[in-house]
Amino acid sequence: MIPNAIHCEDLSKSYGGVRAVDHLRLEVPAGAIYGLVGPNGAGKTTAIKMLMNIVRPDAGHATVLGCDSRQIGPEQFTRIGYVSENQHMPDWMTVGYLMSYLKPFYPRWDDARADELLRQFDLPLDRKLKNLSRGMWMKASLASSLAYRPDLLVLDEPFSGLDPLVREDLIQGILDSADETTILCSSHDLAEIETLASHIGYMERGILRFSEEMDTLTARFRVVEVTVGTAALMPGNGRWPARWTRPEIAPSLVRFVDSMYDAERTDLDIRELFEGVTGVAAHPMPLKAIFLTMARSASPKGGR
Amino acid sequence: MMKQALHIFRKDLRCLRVELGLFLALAALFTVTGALYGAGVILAVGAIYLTSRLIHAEPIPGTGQFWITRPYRWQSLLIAKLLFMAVCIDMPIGAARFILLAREEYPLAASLPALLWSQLLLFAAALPVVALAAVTSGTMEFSLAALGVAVAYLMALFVTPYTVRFQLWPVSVEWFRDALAFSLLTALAAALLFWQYRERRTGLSRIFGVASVGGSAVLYLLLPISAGFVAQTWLSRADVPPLQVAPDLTKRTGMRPQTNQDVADRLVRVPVDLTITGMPAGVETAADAVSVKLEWPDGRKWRGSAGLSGLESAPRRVSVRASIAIPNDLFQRIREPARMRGSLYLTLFGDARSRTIPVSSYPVNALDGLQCNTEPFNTYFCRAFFGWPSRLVYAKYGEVQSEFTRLVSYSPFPSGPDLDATAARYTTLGSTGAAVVTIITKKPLAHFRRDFDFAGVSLADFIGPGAALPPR
Repeated sequence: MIPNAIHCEDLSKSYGGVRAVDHLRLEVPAGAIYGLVGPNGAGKTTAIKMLMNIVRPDAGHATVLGCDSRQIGPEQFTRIGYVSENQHMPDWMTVGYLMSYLKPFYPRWDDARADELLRQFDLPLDRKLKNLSRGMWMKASLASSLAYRPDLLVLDEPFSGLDPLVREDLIQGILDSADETTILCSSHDLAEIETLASHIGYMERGILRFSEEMDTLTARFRVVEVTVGTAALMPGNGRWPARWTRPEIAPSLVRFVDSMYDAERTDLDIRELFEGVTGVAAHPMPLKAIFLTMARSASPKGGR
Repeated sequence: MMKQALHIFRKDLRCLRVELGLFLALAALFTVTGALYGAGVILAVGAIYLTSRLIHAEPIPGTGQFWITRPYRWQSLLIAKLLFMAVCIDMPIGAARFILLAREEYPLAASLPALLWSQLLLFAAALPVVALAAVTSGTMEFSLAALGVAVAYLMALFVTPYTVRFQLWPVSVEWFRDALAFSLLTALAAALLFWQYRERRTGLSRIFGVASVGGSAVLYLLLPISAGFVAQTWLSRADVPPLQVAPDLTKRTGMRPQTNQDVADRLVRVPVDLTITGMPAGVETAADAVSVKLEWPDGRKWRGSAGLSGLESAPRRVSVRASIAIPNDLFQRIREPARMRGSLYLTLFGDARSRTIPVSSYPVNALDGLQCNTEPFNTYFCRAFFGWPSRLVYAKYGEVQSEFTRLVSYSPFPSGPDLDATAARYTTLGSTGAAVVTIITKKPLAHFRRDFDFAGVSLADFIGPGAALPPR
C-alpha cells in the first residue's frame, strides 16, 4: 500500500466563531498531484497553513511526510516546498542572491536543477524580487522551492492573477517535478487544476465535500441525453435516482447529469423509467461542469 | 546551528547595509561631539531603529513570512540577531566611547573594565527593544507600540500618587532599585524573546510583555527605600566590631525646621540625635538611614524614617543628627516617656588611596577614574567618565583638605548602561599657592545595621528645655 504524504483527521480551525475548516479528513497519496479546489473562502488556505504548522488547529490531527503537523520544523522543511500567493518574500534580494542564500539551508540542494529552473523560467539573476512582475515573482518562488527536489510541494493558489503564458510555464515546471515530488495545489481555478491533478478534493465552507482520483471523477460524471418518441414526462413517486441531478425536460428530450455513470446500469434505469426511449447519449463533462453540478447539488436550492 | 546563524548574520549585513552605514555615521558623530547637541539621543534612536529593522527582516508575528516555511532554526535566527546587535550596534558604540575616552585622555587600560561592563549593560538594555520588535510585524507597528508604551508610562505617572511617584531614593542605595528593576525587565524580555522565537505565540507574548513592563514599573515605583538598605547591608560581608548606639541628649538644639512636605502634611519635626561609640580607628563613617518606632505606654504607636542632617566624628565615636516628622497630636505627648526602637544603617569608609597631581587648568588623571583641573574662582573640578566613583573623594591642597561630596553611590558595579554617564563635582581649594594637589579616595569597607531599643525616652529630652514649641 502506498503511504500517504498527507493524512488529516478531523482537522478544524475557527476564527472568531467562524469555522474556517470543519473536521477535514484528507489523504494525499505519495506521488500524487492533489488539486484542492473550492471557491474563495472555502478554507483551502487555512487547511494548508495548518498542514504547514503555520497556524495551529483547534482540533484534529494531521501528519505530513509522516510527521505530526504540529511538530513540523526546520528538518521537515528541508523536504517540503511551500509556495503561496500570500507569502512575503525578501523583496530586497535579487533572484540570484535568493538562490545562493537558500542553498546552505538545504542539504539536498541541486545546483544543476537550480540552474535549469532559472533557465526554464527565464529568471533574471540580477533583478530584485520587488522589481519582478507577479508572474516572475511566482516563478522565482517556485524555483527556490524546487531546487532542492522536495518530497512534497505545497502550492497555495499559485496561478491566481497570472497571465496564461506564465501559468503554462509554472504548470510545466510543476509537472517536471512530479516524478519525484508529491504535490498539493490549492486553487479556485479549475481549468489549471484539470491539466495538473491526478487527485482532486473539493472544499466548500470549510468542509471537504469529496476527494478522489481525477480519472474516477471524470469517468463517473456524464451528461446523459435521453430521446423519447412522445413528450417526455418526469417519473414521479420517488423513482428518480438520487445520482441523477440537474434534470432538464424538453419535448422528446430529457437531459440530466449522472454522478455515478455506468453505461449498462444507466441505460437499464433509463428504460425502466421512461417509455418509448429512442436513444441514449452520454457525454463526458469538463471538470468545471462537474463542480458546478456538485456545488448546486450541495446547495439548498440545488439538485432536483 | 552556529553555521546557520552566521549565514543569516551575513544576510542581515547585506540587507541592512544602508541602515548600518547611517548608524555608523551617527556613532562617528558621537565620537566628535560626545553626548552634546543631542548626539547621544540620536545615536540611541538610531540603535533602536536599526534593531527594529533587524528583527523585522524576519518578523515573528503573522502567517505569511517567508522564513517560517524554510529550514530556519529559531535558535540560529535568534543568535544571528543578537550577534548582529553585538557586532554592529554594541561594538560601534563601544568603539565610539573608547575613542571619546582616548580623546579626553582618560587612562584607557584602567577604564576598560568599566567600558566593557557598560557595553554589556547596553546590550542587556536593548533586550526589551528586541522583545518589542519581536511581537510587532513591522517598523510602523513597532513605532506605534513604542509610542503606546510611552503614553502608558505617562498615564501611569498621572494616576500614581504623588508621594509614590517622587519617592526619592538616597543616592547611596538608588543603584539597588535601578539594578533590580533593570534586571527584572531585561530578564523578562529575554524570557519573552526566547519563548516568542520558539513558539511564535504573539498574542500571549504581547500579554506577557505588557505584564513585564507593568511589573517592572510597579517594582520600581513601590519598592520601599528600606529594601535598598537591607540589601546593601546583606551584600556587605565585612566584619564590624560591636558598637553601642545611645540617644544623644547633649545637643538639645531645639526643634528642627520643617520641610515643605512637613508643612503640607501638618507635621512637626523633632530631633532624635544618636551617638555611636566603639567605632574602629582609622575609618570614616557615613550614616545612611535611621528608622524609628515610638511606643507609648497607652499603646499609641508611631513609626517612620528619620531625616539625616549631619554627622559629627570624634575618636571612636560619632554623633548622628537625625529628626522625625510627627503629627501635631503626637507632638503634644513629647514629654511623656516612650519606648524608642529602630535601626541605624551605617557605612564605614577607609583604605585611603591618594595621588598627587599638578595643579592645572587642563584635566589631569588622578585615580579611580577621576580627572581633575582648576576652574576660575578657586574652584577645583573633578570628573569621571563612567559616573562618580563609589568613593569619598578629597582634594588636599597644602594643609587644607576639601571634600567633594558625601553623596556617593554604593553601587558595586564599575559603570551603568548610560551612553553618557560623565559625572562632575566641584570643591574649593585654599590659596596656598602650591603647585600640586593630592587627590584622596576612601572606599566603602562595610555597610551594616545597628538596632537600638531605648526605654523611657521622651522626645522633649532631645529638644531641650529652652526650646520653643511650635503652634498647635
